[in-house]
This record gives sequence, C-alpha cells and structure tokens, in this order.
Amino acid sequence: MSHARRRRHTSTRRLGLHLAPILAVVLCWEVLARLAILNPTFFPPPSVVVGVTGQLLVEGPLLYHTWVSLRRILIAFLIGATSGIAVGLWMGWSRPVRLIVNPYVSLFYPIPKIALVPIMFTLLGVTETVRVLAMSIAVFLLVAVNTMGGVRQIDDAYIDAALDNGAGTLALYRDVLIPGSLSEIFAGLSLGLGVGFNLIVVIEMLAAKSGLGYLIWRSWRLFTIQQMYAALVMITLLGIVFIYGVDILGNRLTFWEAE
Amino acid sequence: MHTDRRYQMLSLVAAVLAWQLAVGVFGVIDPGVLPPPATIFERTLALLGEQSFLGHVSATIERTLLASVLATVFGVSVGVLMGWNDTVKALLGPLFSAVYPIPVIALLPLVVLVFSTDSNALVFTAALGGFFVVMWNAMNGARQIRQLYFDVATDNGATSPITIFREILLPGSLPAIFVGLRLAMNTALLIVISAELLAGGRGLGYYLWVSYQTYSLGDIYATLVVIAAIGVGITYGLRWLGDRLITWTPAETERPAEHTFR
Amino acid sequence: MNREPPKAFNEPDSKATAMAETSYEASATGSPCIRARGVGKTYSSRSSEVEALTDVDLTVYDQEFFCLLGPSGCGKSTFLRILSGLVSEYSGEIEISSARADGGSVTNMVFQEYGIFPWKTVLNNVAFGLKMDGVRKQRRHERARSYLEKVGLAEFADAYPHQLSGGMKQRVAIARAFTNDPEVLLMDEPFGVLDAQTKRNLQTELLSLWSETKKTVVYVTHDIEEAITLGDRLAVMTARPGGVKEVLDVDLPRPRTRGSIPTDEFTTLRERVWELLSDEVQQSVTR
Repeated sequence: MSHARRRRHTSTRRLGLHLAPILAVVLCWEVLARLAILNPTFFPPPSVVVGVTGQLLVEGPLLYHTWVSLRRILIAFLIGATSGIAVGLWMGWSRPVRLIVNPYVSLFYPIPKIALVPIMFTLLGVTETVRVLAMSIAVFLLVAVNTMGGVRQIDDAYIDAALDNGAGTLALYRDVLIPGSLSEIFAGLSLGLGVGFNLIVVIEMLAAKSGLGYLIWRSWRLFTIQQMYAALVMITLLGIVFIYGVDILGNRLTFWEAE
Repeated sequence: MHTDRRYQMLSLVAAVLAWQLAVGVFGVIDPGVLPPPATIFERTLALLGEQSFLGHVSATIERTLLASVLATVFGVSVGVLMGWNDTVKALLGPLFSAVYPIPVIALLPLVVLVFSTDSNALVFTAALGGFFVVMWNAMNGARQIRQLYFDVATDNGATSPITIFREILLPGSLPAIFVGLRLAMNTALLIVISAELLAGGRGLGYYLWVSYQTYSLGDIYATLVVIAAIGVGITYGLRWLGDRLITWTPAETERPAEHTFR
Repeated sequence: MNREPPKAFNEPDSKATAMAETSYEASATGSPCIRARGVGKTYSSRSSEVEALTDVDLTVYDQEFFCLLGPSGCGKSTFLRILSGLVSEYSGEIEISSARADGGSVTNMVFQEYGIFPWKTVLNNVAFGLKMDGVRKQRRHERARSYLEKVGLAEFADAYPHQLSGGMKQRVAIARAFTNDPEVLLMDEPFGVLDAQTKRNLQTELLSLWSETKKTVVYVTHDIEEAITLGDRLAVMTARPGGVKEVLDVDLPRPRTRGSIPTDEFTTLRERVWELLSDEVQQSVTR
C-alpha cells in the first residue's frame, strides 16, 4: 500500500518536474507577447491561442479538419505499420525473401518520400487513396527496414533454443522473432510516424481541400495567424497522442528489457 | 555477404530489364504512363546537361548541406551536454519532448513570416527537423558511455570539461552521432524538397512541382531519379564514411540503434 | 633487482607461526606511505542508507605490496576509490605521504574491467595519463612504447582494444599505470575476469614490473591464493560494512615464481586466511 502510494507520489513529482520548464517557457512567451516585446501578430500570447483554439473547435471548422487529418493518419499508419512489420519479419528470417525484396526496400528507403507524391498523383489521380498511400509507404519502408534489422540482431542461441525445444514456424515468430525485435519495431514505428506526419501535412498543404495542413496553409495565405496557431495546436496534439502513444505502448510491451 | 550483395544486384537488374521489356518491347504498359527505364535514363542525362536544371540541383544540395551542418553543430553540442549533465537534461528535455511531435513542415509558414526571405526560412525549418534527430542520438550516445571511462579519465588527471568532452564524450558518442547525422540529413532533404514544392522559387522540389503542373511526365521521373540519387548518396555515403572514420567498433552488430526521442 | 620483503631483516625468526600472529597493525617496517584512520563511507539514496565501510585503520608502507582481501560487496573497492580520490566524501582521515617532488600523480588505478578506451589505439591508451599531464607527444609515446614492450605488446601499439583478448587488454591497463609512474598503484581486482592461466602469467609479469619499479601497491582481490602469491602483507576485511578484521604478514621468499613458493607455508597461511574469511563470506551470503 504505502509502497504504491510512494510510487505514485514520485511519479507526480516527476511529472511536475517535467512540466515546470514547459510552463516557464509558456509563461515567458505570454509575458513577452503581452508586453509586445514579441510581435503579438506573429506570436499571439498562449492564452489567446488557447482561447481561439477552443472557439474554433466549437464554432469553426477546426474539429472537422482535425478529424479528416486524424482519419488519414490512422488509416495510413495502420496499413504501413502492419505491412511493414510483416514484410520486415519475413525479410529478417528468410534469406531468399531478403535477397529478393531487400534491394527494393534499400533503394526506396533513402528517397525523400514526398518526391514520390507528384508521380503518384499523375498516375493515380489526386484522390484520397493516394494521399493516404503516400504516408503509408513511408511508414512501411521505415518499419520494414527496422524490423528486419531487429530480427537479424537476435542472438542465434535463442533461435537454436526455440528450434531445439520443438518450436514450429508459428511459435518461432510468436515466441522468438517478434519479441526479440520488438524494440526495433517500435523504433521504426516512431521514425515512421515522424516522417509520416510531415508527409500528410505537406500533402494537405499541396493538394487537399481539408485537413490541418490545408488549414495552416490557407490561414497563412489569408494571414489569419491566430487560426494558423489553432491548427498548429491541434496537429501538435495529434502528434503527441500518436508518438507518445506508440512510445508508451512500446515500453509496456518491452517491459522485460533492462534499463 | 558478398554473394548476398551480388544476388541483390541481380534482382535489381532483372527487374529493370523486365520493366524495359514490358514497356519498351511488348508494350504491356502505356509508355505515356510509365516510360521504360532507358527513356527515363536518357531524359535524366539530358536534364543534367542543362544549366538551369543544374542550378536547381545545386540549390537543393546547398540547402540540405547548410541545414545539416546547422543541425549537427547544435544537435551534437546540446545532445552531448544533455547526455552528460542531468540538470541540463531535466531543463531542456521536457521542452524538446513537447516540441518534437510537431511536424516541422507545419511550422514553415510561421518561419517564413519571421524570416523575411523564403530561402532562409526553408533552411531553418530543415535544420530544425534535423536538429532533433541529431540531438536525441547524441544524447543517447553520451548516456551509454560507461561510468568506468569517466572514472579512468578522472583518475588519470583529466579534469577540465573541455578535456572530458574531447577525450571521452565526443569519441564515445561518435557512432551514435553518425547514425543521427545520417537520419538528420535525410530529414533535412525531405523537408527541403517539401518546402520547395510548397514555396517554390528554386530547387528540385520546385522543378518537380512545375513538371507535375505542366504534366511533363519525363521530367517528373528524371527529377525523381536525381532526388533519389541524392538520398541514396547521403544514406550510403555517410554509412561508408562512418565505417571509415570509426574503426574502433567491433562489428556491424554493435552498431547503435536509431533513436528518435527520449 | 629482487626486492627482499622489508620485514625479513627485522624478524629473522618469523616463520609460519609468526605469520599467524593476530597483530592488528602488522610488523612491516619502512616509512609509512598511506595512513588511514577510522575511514568510513555511507552511500545514501533518497530512500535508504547503506554503510559500505566502517572504521578502517590501515597503514601501508613505502614500496610495499599490500593486498586487501574480502568477500564480494565488502567495500574494498570503495576503499580503493577513496584512496584514488574518485570518492571524495568519506569520514575519517587518509594521509598519503607524497615524497616526490616532480609533481607527478600520486596514485593511479587499474580497474577490474580494463578501463581502456575502445576509441583509442593501444599506444594512445597507454599514453593517456601523460597526455593529461601535458607531456609532449613524442616523449609520451616513447615512454608508452617502452612499457608496451615490457608487457609484450609492442607490435600491438596501433591496434584498437576490440582486437585484443582480455589478458592483453589488462596488460594495456597495467602498462598505462606504470607509464604514469605514480607513487602508489591501486589495483581493483585487475585479473578477476581472466582465465586461470592468463591470470598466472599476468601475476608473474606484474611482480617483475613491481620489483623493477619499487612502487607501493594496494591490490584488491577476493582470491586468497592470489593475495598470498602477490602480497607482502594482506588485510582480511569483514563483510559489509567493511572493516579490517586482521592484517597478516606473508613471509614468503621472493621472487615468487611458480614452484619457488614453499608449499607447506603457503598452505598453512591459506588455511589461516580461509578460516578468517569463511565467517565473513557466510555473512555476506546470508544477508
């Protein structure tokens, strides 16, 4: 009981220590903007930003654009992550598959994925599918490469031990390959999210009539800076939810790894 | 290992050949949609012969390099400092963690407002994206240096922070920094191309967007080839360089993991 | 060349029985080099306090090979780190007489897990301490090379540590310590992770380097036979919190090469130390 309470106590403390520097910066910004040392047109005080965001969420189009972006990110991420993990595991385990697939993955992996977008638009048209597909390709490549690396660094002794104890293919994947490469898989997911978020924003800025990227771009064009900040707040919130959600999930699943 | 690489090259060559045959000879796919590789290659060479196109290439490379240098200088110093000193980490870590999830490209309009010139804004945005990657990697690199090495240094009379940085922190985190550098240059390139697509003016991204708008399929493919070549050059060039410079790590298996944050 | 144990002159009659004397402050002579009085150390974290060392009284004499023997976790490494200055907060008093006038370092440590930098070549590792003292490159490399030769690693000067075996790595660490030329050499279970054969070879090499250079050595180990083979005197420590249980003279002739150590005396002493230690080991296990 007391042990649990103490732990909760220290974790609130840690959260407080974590929030303190952030609050300090936000407070500085507020004061500097109020005193007009920071140009309040470009840097409206945080209190104003929060107010505008709330107002636009309730009355304006912000909720709709957030929902559109969220849907795109979610679908693209799920497609890219599942296919990336599957192909990565397979490439890591089977040498023939690696020999056939890896050259393409290593060729496309370093290409800035945004450069593929104009071609995809040309070939497939400017459709919702293409917008989502572009992000899922980025996630797929990063996850596949990392997962393959994760499988290949697994100590042969574990695989030998599993086979010696009568593990079949399914058991090998479930009990050795997946847990053994889990932290690399999550590193790939995290990298993929970072790149994928940028991609979806660029695509929405370039070729969409909805989504937070579109809203940011239009606000900039119309010089409605406060609305732009509101959209930035929402995309940041989405980023926090996805990136730290994946991070927390990864830590939960790899709890057995020593610090 | 070497036979592996040979098989993989073979797989690529076979695919290119099949593509050439399918489009160029048998006409399975409309060459107006997907030109055969030989045609793309020709167009790429032709473009690279044009002075104006080379200007776009050099603009993109210049911006990417500049952004990467900025990202590296600040990323390494801040990251190593955070990895070494817990107080610095406690102060800066939460700030960076809070800002990190923002897709950097979303900040481009804001940065353009602050910087009056597009080109500076573009480099700054790309540098910002790269900074985070280098910083997390340098920090983790510095944190994984064993306490033993600091003890040895102290015991042998290394006292000033500069000496510790030069003799222990920097070389000790160098493998991780190189991983960060590679990721940072790729991030910088992605953001430079994205920003050029959006803000235009000069650069391969801009050229790509114009080609798309005018439906010049050959130019789109050729530009993509050049961009891909830059990306591949960065990734494998830096990997090669890292292997040459860091001769003291035992094997490929002990390469540091790619870190994003925390 | 071969150094006589200092006490042999004073007590010519002392044999195995005399060694077993429970003289707390043992009978070696010479001028004291290290004097520890009531040294204690408590590690405190937010939730708890652990007393690692308590009330350690020791005197180590000039040019003596002194072994600290104790069960694992008894704080013998902590004591060494206090002597080296790596641990600066402790209770009690430590006095290290610094006779030298050239301003060189007083102590230098050889760590259990090699402590040689993977990112430096063997030569640069050996010359590291001199570099920190501002010795010119040519001169420090010269000195480093001469000690590399003495430990038989001359041709590995430009290799990196990952290309060396465990024994070779520890030779590099020893070469660095001697290159630094400190007054007191502190060795923290330097051969603890090596295989038996390598360990024996390195012990012989260490003894020959020591008799050449006449350093004062404080050598931490949990291996009884090693302590008897190497030391002039040895201190048996108690389980945590560590204190000195007893200090014994090792009155065996030098040079102690394999076969030259009288078996009877060795065995008697080993049994005596084993008895002293077994209680402590038991305690540290049941804790």
